[in-house]
Amino acid sequence: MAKKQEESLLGYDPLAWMNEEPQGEEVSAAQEQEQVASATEHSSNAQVTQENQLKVVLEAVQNIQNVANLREEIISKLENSLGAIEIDASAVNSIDTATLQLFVALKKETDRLERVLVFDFPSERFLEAANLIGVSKLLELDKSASGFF
Amino acid sequence: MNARVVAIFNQKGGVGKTTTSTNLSHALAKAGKKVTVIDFDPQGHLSISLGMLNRQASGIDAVLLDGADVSQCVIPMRENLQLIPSGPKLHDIELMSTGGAKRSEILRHTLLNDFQDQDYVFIDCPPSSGLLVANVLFATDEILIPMSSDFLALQGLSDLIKTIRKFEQVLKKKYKTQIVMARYTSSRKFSKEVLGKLQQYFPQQILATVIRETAVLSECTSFGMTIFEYRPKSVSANDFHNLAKDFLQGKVM
Repeated sequence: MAKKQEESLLGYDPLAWMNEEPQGEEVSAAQEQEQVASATEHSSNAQVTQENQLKVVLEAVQNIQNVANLREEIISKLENSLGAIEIDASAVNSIDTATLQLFVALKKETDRLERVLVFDFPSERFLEAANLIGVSKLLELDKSASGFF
Repeated sequence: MNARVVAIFNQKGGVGKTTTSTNLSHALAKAGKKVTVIDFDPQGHLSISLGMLNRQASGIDAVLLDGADVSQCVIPMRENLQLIPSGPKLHDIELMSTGGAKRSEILRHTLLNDFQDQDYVFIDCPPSSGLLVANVLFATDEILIPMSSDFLALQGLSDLIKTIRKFEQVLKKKYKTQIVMARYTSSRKFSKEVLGKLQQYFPQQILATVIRETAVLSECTSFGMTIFEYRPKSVSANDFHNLAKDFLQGKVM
């Protein structure tokens, strides 16, 4: 909660996060440097961005060949952030059981740590695969805006 | 020429979505604009507000689920104002886990092609952020957000903007977003602070006229009348008349 401002009846500003967003072209040199460093750091299969939450954007094909990199990336980010974890699954055309097992383990870990895990826009292929092996409910995919991509 | 399609959307309930849909659309119709309103809320409150009590009539549900022609579902309600009701099966869509893309495409195609004789199409969204709203956000490019002047509405707006940003990111488009202060208690200092906070974060995006909260706005719904029929000389009728002018002229604060 934010500190109550003098003479204000609003104790907490729910929109304050909007001030922290980078404003399009107005990126300072320091921010630019940070972005370059961040982009260099993430060279594995998943694109990971740090906003208020940890965000992981899955690639079209998620399988045994790239699951190890994805795991390392997620673990590293889990250890270095405290916010919610968002996994953008909108682009997934193909996903194997190894990756889904990783997400099951991740879900159990986030539950244990009382962290929030959200799958954003899971594609129909992602949903089909999760349904097939019976993990949709565990991953709470029914709460997502699903089946759109 | 294509109609201007506007989603009236706020996932929080009680902020004045349906009141805005009903009275803004009628104000525009009275100004000579051809307006269609789509009741996208399975509760069917927009239809009821406009005086349509038959909740079994097919509507946008039949278009999205059964491939019905939209012309079969259109109901003329007032001069220049027509309604597409929600229909009894619209709620089923919220429970489906697949087919969202197909329904969104149907909706987008319908909005692009079947309303060319209309000036405006308003979609009254349900108070949720589920699949129905996702369908609408996929198919439209413009959002009007009704707000009430209380703290929880601000908190809800924060979540709403995050939802919109997610859709913008995934769909790679930028919505034209405007806000209307649809339930404003002018006697409260707190309301002024909430409005000030909105102006701080959304400059040039808030329609210039605020809709003051009045008893007559609540009462007219139960008669199936708009404010222009129920109390045409009231401050609320005047507010909505001015809001429609702002909307047409792009007058913002």
